[in-house]
Amino acid sequence: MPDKEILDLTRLQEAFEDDVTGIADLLDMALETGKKHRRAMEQGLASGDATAVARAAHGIKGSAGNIGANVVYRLAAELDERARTGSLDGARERADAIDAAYARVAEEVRAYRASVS
Amino acid sequence: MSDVLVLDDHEPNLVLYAKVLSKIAGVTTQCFTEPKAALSWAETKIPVLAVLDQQMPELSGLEFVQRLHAIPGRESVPFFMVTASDDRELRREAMNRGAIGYLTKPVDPVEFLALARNVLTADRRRRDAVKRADEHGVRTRGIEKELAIRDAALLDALFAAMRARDPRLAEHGERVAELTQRLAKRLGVAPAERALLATAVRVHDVGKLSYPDRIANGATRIDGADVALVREHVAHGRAILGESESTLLRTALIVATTHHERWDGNGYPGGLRGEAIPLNGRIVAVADAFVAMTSVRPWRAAMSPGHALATIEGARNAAYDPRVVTALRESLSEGS
Repeated sequence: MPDKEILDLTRLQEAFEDDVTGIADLLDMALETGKKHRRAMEQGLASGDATAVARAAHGIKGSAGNIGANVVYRLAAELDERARTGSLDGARERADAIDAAYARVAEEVRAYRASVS
Repeated sequence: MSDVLVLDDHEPNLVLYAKVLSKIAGVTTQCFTEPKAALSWAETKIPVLAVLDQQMPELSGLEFVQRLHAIPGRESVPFFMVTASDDRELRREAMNRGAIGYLTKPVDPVEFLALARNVLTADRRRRDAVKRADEHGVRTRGIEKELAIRDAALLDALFAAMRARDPRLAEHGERVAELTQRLAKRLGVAPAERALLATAVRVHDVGKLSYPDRIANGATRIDGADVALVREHVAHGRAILGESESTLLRTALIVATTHHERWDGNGYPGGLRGEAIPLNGRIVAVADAFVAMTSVRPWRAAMSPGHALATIEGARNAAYDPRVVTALRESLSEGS
């Protein structure tokens, strides 16, 4: 059974209807975008740049939210909010948690693609 | 096709929004990840709707919309925001700046679609209304033009009847109309009014169509009982031209019924005095007298222009409006 906290496709299915390939392609694209933001976030963490971390977290929040990656969305939202105040307390742990959550999203995406092709 | 501009710096979001917007018939989605590219596109195209992310590296969504609305012709492009930020201040600012909606990510596709569709429907209704108003305006102007043509054609027909009855009657009408034009211009009558006079004054004596054959051709000097008959041509003119709403026919009627009034109140048919006589009637009175005096009649030679002017000047303040007499003198001395 797919875990709806990790990836809830209800909204995408409302948008794409029976275009399952379209959904799968969008999910892959969102994962790629997530990696890009994650790299930017990593640079921000390394240099102690809270603004850069917040910007990357905000990007992840938006794109993860839109595909229904709820755990990633919540973690990114927390990090966005915290980093925007200039604090990087607990940022490293949250970034790691985002990686772990994204890995589970990627598994769900692979499973979804397998189920529809 | 109507273009919807969609701006978000994350491509997967654009893919999702474009997919949703593709459900609306007649819409093409123009996707941009960079505000500057979107602005240069909007220099040549006018979107019916803009869907904007707020947080972008180059420009924020609200800064973008300010620049978009600054492009001539794009001042009223409707827009709504789709942002990951649920900040209340930002939401309020967006709505105060004219946003028609503020959606937060994760986006609800059904809500997104409904919002876009509502905007496009309202925009289509507005454009339909403008188009109908334009068409109505064109039709109205067409009808007005048609009516003006018909009014002029009616006066042309009356004038042709005058010419058929007595060529001298028509020639007199033409000459009076021509002199009236010159006097009216000197007296500061507006060009549109003078254009009406050019057509209307030709038929100022249309009532003379009612003359019996005995006096119709102007071969005999009129006296005795026929003087009363001649005076009746004004009433016949009124009957022929009738009460009309048409500006041209009203002008013709006023001229036909007042050009025998006298400045001192001793004219006919109304015995109007001074400025109670419409200006057009006072002008035609002078032009009519001058043209009549300088025309040959079977029973007399034509008066010279100088003699006619002197005669008319002798009746200034009695028969004629002194201002119009002055205009006649100036017109004759300057040859225009």
